[in-house]
Amino acid sequence: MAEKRSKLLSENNGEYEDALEFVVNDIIDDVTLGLCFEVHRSSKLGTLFLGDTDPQSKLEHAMVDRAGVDVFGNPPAKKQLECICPNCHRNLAASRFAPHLEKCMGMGRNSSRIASRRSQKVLKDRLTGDGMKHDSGDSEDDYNDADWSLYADKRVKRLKKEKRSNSPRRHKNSRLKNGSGYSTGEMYGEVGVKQERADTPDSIGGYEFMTLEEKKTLLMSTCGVISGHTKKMCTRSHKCPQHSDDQRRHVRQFLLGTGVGGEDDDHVDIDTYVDGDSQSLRESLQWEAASNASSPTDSTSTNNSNSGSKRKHGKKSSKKRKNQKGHSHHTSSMGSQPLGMFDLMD
Amino acid sequence: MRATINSKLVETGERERLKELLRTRLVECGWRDQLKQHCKALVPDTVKKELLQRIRTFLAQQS
Repeated sequence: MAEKRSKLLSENNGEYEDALEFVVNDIIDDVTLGLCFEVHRSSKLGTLFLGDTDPQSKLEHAMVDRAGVDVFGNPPAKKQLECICPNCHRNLAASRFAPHLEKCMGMGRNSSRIASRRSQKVLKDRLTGDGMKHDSGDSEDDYNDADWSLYADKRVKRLKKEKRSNSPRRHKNSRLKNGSGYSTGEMYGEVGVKQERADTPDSIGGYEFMTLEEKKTLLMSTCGVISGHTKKMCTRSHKCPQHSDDQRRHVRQFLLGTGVGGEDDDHVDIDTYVDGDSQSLRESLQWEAASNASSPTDSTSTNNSNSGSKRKHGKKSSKKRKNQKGHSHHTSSMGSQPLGMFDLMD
Repeated sequence: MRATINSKLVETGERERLKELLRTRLVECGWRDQLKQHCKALVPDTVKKELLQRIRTFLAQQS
């Protein structure tokens, strides 16, 4: 090897060439020495023969290159990654780990909501005492509606108001429960009045303390349906989706006097129809008519029941009253009343 | 003369570069693997046998 090199270089003459030749050799020696060191070290460590495998094991462990199977020949199977929660030391699936940790440590949005709901419920239960035994599950809905409260507790109401949220979940809950939980029997109990609204009476008390004027004002402008569990009037508009027109009519009858009568036509007693209330009743019924006219998409059953009650009044009341009411009905309810009603009134 | 060339090479760092170049070239042409196998072959049989023995006894102790 060295001769070949010197033969190549000997084409050019002189000491210069010798020197160059020497340098080349030197570098090559260095590299060779380096390799020797590596081999010697690997033999000392015992790694020298590691790469040698017999042909049999080579076949066994050959790399797999088929489709649908990984390098070892295993079909793709995702094993469940388990982890242990550092808080509660439970074995959890990795996909469920993050939401569990939120709840476990109490730091996510949802978990703080649940915690505040629970504490509010505890507060509320303490306040209600033994007087009202509505199920505690519904009390959470109180905080969802924009309600007229019959309860006097300012402090608690302010706290609750801050924590109230309008998430769709809450609306769904209250929508489900309000439709079915409405009951007149429970409306009066220990009741107070919420302070945030400008036109509510300041005193603690029930609806009795609200003057007729105020009641009428409320009922004319708001839905007013009293929630069965909270005894509060709904402050939404007349078209609030949580309450039906039937409920609104019911609450107006209830608040403005019992003289309007029950559901069946046969038992209407004219003597109980108090004169003082006629104006307010007419107004509330005007509201009904107005809402009927403006929302023709209401269900036919609602329309029928409304017209039924009007028909009843038209039949049984005195001529003067009937005419008055007939006229008012005529003018305001042109659009949606069935023709039969007009016949009866004449 | 030799010394000056050598020192010149080292100063500029050219020597190191040449070395690296040589290493890559030798690996490419397979010289390195050849040399390794040659070395392994040079290890006499007796030495290999002794090594195997040692390892076997060690494993027996472990398990």
